[in-house]
Amino acid sequence: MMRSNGFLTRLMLLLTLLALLLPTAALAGITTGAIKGTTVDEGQLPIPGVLLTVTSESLIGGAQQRYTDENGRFAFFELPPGLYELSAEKAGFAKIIKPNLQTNIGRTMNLTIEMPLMQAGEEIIVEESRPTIDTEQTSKGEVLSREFLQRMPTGRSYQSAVQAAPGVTGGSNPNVSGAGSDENTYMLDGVNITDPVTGTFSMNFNFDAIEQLEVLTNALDPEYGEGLGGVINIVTQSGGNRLEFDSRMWIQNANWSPKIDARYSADGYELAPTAFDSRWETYQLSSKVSGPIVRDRAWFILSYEWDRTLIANSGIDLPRDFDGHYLLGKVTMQPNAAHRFTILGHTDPTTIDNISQSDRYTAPEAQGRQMQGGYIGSLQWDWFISPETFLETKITTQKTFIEVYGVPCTHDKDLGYHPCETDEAENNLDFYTPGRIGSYNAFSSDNWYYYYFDDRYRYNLTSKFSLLQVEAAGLHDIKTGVELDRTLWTQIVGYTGNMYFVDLNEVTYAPSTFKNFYWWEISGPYHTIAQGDHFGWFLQDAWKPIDNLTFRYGVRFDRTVQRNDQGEAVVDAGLWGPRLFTAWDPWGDGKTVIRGGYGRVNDTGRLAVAAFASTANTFGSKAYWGEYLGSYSNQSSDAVAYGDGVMRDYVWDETIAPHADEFVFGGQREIVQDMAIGASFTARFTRNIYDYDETNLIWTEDGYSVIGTGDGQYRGIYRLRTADIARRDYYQTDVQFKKNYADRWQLLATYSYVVSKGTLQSAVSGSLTNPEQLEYAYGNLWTDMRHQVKTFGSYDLPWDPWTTKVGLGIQYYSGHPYTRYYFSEAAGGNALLRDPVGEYTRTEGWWTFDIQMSQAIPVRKGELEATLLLDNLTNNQQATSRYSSYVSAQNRWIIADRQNPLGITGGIRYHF
Amino acid sequence: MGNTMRNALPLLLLGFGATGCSFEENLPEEDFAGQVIVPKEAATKVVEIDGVETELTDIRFLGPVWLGAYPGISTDSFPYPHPEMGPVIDPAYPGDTYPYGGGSVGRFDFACFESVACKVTTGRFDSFASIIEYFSWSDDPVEDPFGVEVTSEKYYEQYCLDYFYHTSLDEFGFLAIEEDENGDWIAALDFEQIAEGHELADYGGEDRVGDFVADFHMNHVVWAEGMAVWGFLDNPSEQFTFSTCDETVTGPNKYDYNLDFYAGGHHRDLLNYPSLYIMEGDWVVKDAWILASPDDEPVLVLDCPASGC
Repeated sequence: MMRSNGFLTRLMLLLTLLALLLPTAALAGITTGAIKGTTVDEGQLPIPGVLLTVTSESLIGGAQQRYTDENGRFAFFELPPGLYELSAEKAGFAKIIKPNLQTNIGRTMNLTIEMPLMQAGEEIIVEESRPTIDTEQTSKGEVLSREFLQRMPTGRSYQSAVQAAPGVTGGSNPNVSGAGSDENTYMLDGVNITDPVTGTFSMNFNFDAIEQLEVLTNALDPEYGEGLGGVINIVTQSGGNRLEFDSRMWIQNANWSPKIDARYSADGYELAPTAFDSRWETYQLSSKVSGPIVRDRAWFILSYEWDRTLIANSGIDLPRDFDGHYLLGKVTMQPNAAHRFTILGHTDPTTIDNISQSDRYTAPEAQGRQMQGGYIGSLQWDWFISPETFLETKITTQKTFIEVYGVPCTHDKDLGYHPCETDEAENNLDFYTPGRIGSYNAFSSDNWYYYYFDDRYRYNLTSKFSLLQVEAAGLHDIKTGVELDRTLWTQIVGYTGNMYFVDLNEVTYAPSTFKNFYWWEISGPYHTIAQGDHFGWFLQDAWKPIDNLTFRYGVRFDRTVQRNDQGEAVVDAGLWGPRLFTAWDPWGDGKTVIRGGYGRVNDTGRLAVAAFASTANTFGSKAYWGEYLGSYSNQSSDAVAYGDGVMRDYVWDETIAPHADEFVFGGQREIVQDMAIGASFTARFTRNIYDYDETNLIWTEDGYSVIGTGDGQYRGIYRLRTADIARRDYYQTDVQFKKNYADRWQLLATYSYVVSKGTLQSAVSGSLTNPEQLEYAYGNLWTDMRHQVKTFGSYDLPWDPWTTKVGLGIQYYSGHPYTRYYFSEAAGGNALLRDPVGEYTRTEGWWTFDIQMSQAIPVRKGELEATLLLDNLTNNQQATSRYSSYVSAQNRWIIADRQNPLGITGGIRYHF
Repeated sequence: MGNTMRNALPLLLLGFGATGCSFEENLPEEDFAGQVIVPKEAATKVVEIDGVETELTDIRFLGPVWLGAYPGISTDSFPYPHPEMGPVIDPAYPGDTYPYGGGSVGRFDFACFESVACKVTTGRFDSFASIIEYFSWSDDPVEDPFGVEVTSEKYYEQYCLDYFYHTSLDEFGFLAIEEDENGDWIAALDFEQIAEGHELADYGGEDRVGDFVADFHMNHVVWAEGMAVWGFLDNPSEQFTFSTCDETVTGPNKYDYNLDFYAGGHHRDLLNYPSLYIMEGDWVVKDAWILASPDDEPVLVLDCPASGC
């Protein structure tokens, strides 16, 4: 099967150069898996010339076949995730069939197939055994299969499902290995869909269309690593040769659940308004149809999901109304064995009405609307030059947008918000009437007070070339790739009527009584733009000098330039990210692996950083105190505060790109079929995080207040920098028990011990602005939740012919560290430290027990399945977040958030 | 291979862990630390105790010391050395000075009762009793919101704990105390009196025994060779008021609906317009320290009365 080494070497060089020259963009994530192995006889001698065949409902193009080489080796690459059957046959030997081989994205299954000589009655042997662990893999993370996602109570969104992986905490933008929630890389079918501005997720997505969800937390191969957090890789289903239809409906209503037990916390302090007596209804309808266009040649999937969520905080009549529609279309074509084309389109338009739910005092006419969503389109071409040589090229365009303005008026009184004036046209948008912002329990009224139009674009071209199974002092799997990525951000921000009033202390909605106010005049709307260009290149090798040892090493280079609205390069860096990891199977039986190594990842920037110091990105403003200062007779009612609209912020010349160095070490051992235990240790050191500090103000000895300024004007001038003090140190030790889905059950249980210290938790921050406070800046970060237990398991109860699927989730997190703040006169609030951050106290730990039960009933032409999902079955209501800026008497804190009470969700599904 | 890795990895991790204990901020600015010396006269007052006029020397008489690093010092415009100023545009207003950085030794802090707003300097009091005693001497006793003189240390402490929602004494900035390793409160006053044998007892060739010395820090000063470190001490007037304190600024306030209580704080342009605030009874640095190197540790002597030297 293998060509001569000389030819391969020349070909490798040629194609590597070709790949380097290709004008392409963002490095795509891996969306396929591999099956490798060796055929041996009963004396463990390799058998060459064995015919291997893989088949799967997931494999477009039909069955694939290979012959083993002179060393008895075979390999199938680029296998879409799914269940496979492998057969091995050669004249004189019994035919071996291995069914139920689950391929996972980015993983390699290594098999040793022992083929006995054919004897009477032993022509075909079916072997259920399969390896549980990947002895070549060095990256750390989890692949959550469709079986896992559909059976476990993981929250029915990819953002919440990733929390099942060790080292992942936080909310819908998770913190991975102590990184910021804005430092992850999100991929949809290998396409980078990370928000180019904020570094957060950019799209909502139909959960039921996910085939597998991969969370890479550490030790990334060089083809990954544009951010300092994890990689969240969503791989969608692709359809198949069978026409399938699947429709589901989910409803949740807080009225079915118990309320938060008390309006007051146990220590007598009032809860945040969101925590009790609130309205919460969700409706989710998803439908999916998939099947063949041309059998074995062209498949399609069309998926739609409607999400509607109505939330009203306590005391608020008008609910926040989230109305999202997610539509995915995908066509996969394989006209012949050499070429595969994939076309993907996705859109998620969403309207959110009544967005101001943070207080109880927003009048109907002053409510806001947020429109958001976007689209993504990608075309991928996979060229299978040979069974071990591939070229993957992908072109992608993505747009996301957010628009915020007042809710359009309506004459429909039943809607209850923003009634039109008698002579006002339906759906009129008022950009001219100034808003009145309620402050200190006053009503916001008259009109929504600002508008915001935000468009974000990503254009991306990627090419990856793989040259696998190259023999040179062992075996090499070589990959290289290049990427060109252009991102663009445009913003228009303004205030209705170019001014707004601030009303004070009117606790009832009676406009005629408004009197205590001051107002701001604002210059007209500004329009600003930021753009980024990124070139990425990687070269990596998985070298096996001997059968049971793999070195995965390589380097990644990123050249990134991010410009503000003046075309000035705020970020301009060439970044190298070396990686060296190893995986060792000490006994060579495929049941044990010891992994370890070092790698560096770099932050290639985000447009939120590029927009720093944009000259158009500021308002001119003037405040009129009016009656507000009536009691302070020494002040006039004329304008007494103003900004000149001139941008003085700047970028420090010595700014370098943030980066993280990490060291990993661990091992895994298969204890019985489909079951493994493992332990790992990770140390990650993140340095030179983006931070903007203030450089004009001069502070007292303790940082309490300002005593002078460098330019004689009392104003902050900010400098973007990446100082050494802006850093994180993260240590994580995991112990894991894992049982892959087989024999009706699966389990993923992890205990993690975490230490997370540093000065900044986010990718971009202004926390280190007070130089006199820096001695207290280093301490326990928000992600320093010391003990984390995550257990997810499912069992299919056999009530033949029916099956009841039961999924359980038990999670425990020890509390968040909190910082004690003191009053800072200059900051106008609690911002003064006298202890290292996060070393004052913690919230109590909290745990939750979730259960999901599904009962399927055969019906005509299909199956009807009813599901009951009970979140937080024991109705725990432990505080999960507190207001860190406020310390009350006897160490009591105002609770910002609690665990949601017992949530009851009902779902029904029909599919055929 | 495996054994080598097993041995090397803990060492590597130990090394990297150790680097987590310290860091350089890596900015184009310098942090300075030095000392200020205040003459005994500045901390000496004649007060009436039990009807007898008594001369007392006490660091509680010392107001805040404001320090700046300036391009240069001039003796032309005022009877005391003063930072060089920019052009005078408004004849009623001095020209601006442009400090590269600065700091202070103490500042005003709100000691819970409105009657002592703008009168308490941090680093000068180590107990509630010492505050009560000081303002009793000053014939301006601490009063609670009902106009009743506060004489009980315990009542003062309880009122402050309730007012600020604090839970321990070291949370009060105006109390110069800290908790030692045994959990005991110990005094952490800014100034100490120079005794015989002190390293500054004969500083500059002059006998400084009996004077007061304090450490100071000026962080993130933009480095310019030859710049001058200068400062002044805002001492209380005969009426125990301070020219650098502004009673109208917010300060730590108790907020309840719209009831803002303004507890006072210093003016924010002290280093830009020091001459506006230097009054009779204040003390100024006569010989500014010229910084030749970022490693300098300035010693500033506030030995020039505001009336001239």
